[in-house]
Amino acid sequence: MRLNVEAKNVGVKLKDTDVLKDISFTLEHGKTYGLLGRNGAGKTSLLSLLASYRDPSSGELLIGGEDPFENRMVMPHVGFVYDTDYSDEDEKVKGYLEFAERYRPFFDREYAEELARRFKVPLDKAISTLSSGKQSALNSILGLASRTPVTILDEVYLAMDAPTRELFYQEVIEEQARHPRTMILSTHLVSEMEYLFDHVLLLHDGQLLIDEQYDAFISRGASVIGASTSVDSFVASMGTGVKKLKTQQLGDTKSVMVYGELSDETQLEAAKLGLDVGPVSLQELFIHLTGEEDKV
Amino acid sequence: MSGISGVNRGSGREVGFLKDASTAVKVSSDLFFTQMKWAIWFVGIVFVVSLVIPRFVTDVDHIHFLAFIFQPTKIFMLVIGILSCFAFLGYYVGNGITRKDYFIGTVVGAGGVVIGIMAIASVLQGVLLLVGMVTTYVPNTSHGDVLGTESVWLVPFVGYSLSGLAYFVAGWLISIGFYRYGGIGGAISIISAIIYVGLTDMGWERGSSLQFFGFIQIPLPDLSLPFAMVTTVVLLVVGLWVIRRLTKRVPIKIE
Repeated sequence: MRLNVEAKNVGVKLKDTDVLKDISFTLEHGKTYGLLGRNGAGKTSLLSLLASYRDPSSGELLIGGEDPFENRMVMPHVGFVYDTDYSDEDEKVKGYLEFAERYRPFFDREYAEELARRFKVPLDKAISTLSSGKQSALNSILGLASRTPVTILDEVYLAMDAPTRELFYQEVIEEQARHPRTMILSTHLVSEMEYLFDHVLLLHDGQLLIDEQYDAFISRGASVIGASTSVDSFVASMGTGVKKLKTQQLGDTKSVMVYGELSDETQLEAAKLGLDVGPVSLQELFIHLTGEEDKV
Repeated sequence: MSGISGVNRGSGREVGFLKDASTAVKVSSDLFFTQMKWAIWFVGIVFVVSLVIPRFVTDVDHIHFLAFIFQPTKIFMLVIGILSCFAFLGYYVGNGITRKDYFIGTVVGAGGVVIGIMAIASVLQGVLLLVGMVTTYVPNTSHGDVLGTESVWLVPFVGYSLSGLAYFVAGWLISIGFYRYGGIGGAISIISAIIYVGLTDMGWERGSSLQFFGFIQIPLPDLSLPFAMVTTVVLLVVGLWVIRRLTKRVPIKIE
């Protein structure tokens, strides 16, 4: 089953605050999307729209061409797991798996139990008694094994330890190969997950700042390193289409991180001036594109 | 040819309809069995209490078990109603179930539970009667006004069930009040629920007065039983309508 997602000028207003403003994008089957944003940027609000946890205050959202809200044909096919508070949950892990199996049409019980073994999540223990890492692992298991055509994993990996996170990332890649779906991973821990993303959505203050292929987005960032004066004149010559994200200076050597379209000529010119032009990580772009207010 | 394709479209719709219905049916049965598990404990405990009390308190009238369990059942139904939104709404919607199916399932489940409680209570009463007939042991088997004649056997059963359901609706109203609007909404919903159960009780508490908060008392005329039933049914419909309005588009909490 293939379900594409289409948002047209979607907005969410809570009381008098615009949590999301005029968001438009499309998500395609088979791709993994990284939804990035700082705390409070509106990531969870956006995802809760996809999962029909709430309906948009304005604009239109379509999943598989239909309005998902209260739609029996769509809601079972959109899976949304997030960092859940399980402190009162005396149900056992097994109960959760059974329930998901009952209501999620593509849930794979065997796969869920295999993941539980690999993540070392006991099936017969009350969920409230599990460590927060295991509770996170349970969320990832539910998200992966439900095999919902739209699968949303919202920061579920935060409490897992590093080896479990690695296992989880591996599973995300393998699952996309075995059972392709529209997958959305939201996070602010960008560095270790960026290799998973086909496409990047960057939310900032309720607005969609970036909606671009991962490669294309990354290629816009560059760090220019060289003698102070040559770097300055080079960056000035690049014009207004390029944004200066970060400047560091050590002695006479200057490093400037820029964001924008870098043509081949510009690259050649840099080489002529004896400047080093290097790549920038997603993490760096994320930090400096969303951290403007701290800089000024 | 067109006839055949017409049939196909028709059966396609039917399959779709059955699929729709099946989620509501699943939710209903899941909610019924989950809450019935609690109810069985509840009935068991009340039954033991009803057998033990006459041993210690001598001036208690021997009262029919169905009547004995009626008051505790109302409170039980109120409590499971209050739990509904916090225990089930978010979890069900989070598993891709529509609010509508949650609503249908909750109504059917609660109806099933109250009928289940009354049915178990009736069976237990029947057992007590049998025991009373073949032995000299006579606990609570006085031939009360309720079971005395066969013709009124069904009336308390239906009446108690409707009344229990009304308490559930009151609890559910409190639940959605707190879930959706927080403290102030919850407080308003509690006051509404008290008035609501006061109104539904008025037909069943014969010869007494309408009581709000214990101190406001409005004397009531003796209402006839059919009138009480009709009133309760109307109030149930109104209460459920309000709850459906409040749950129809309720945002689900992320916690």
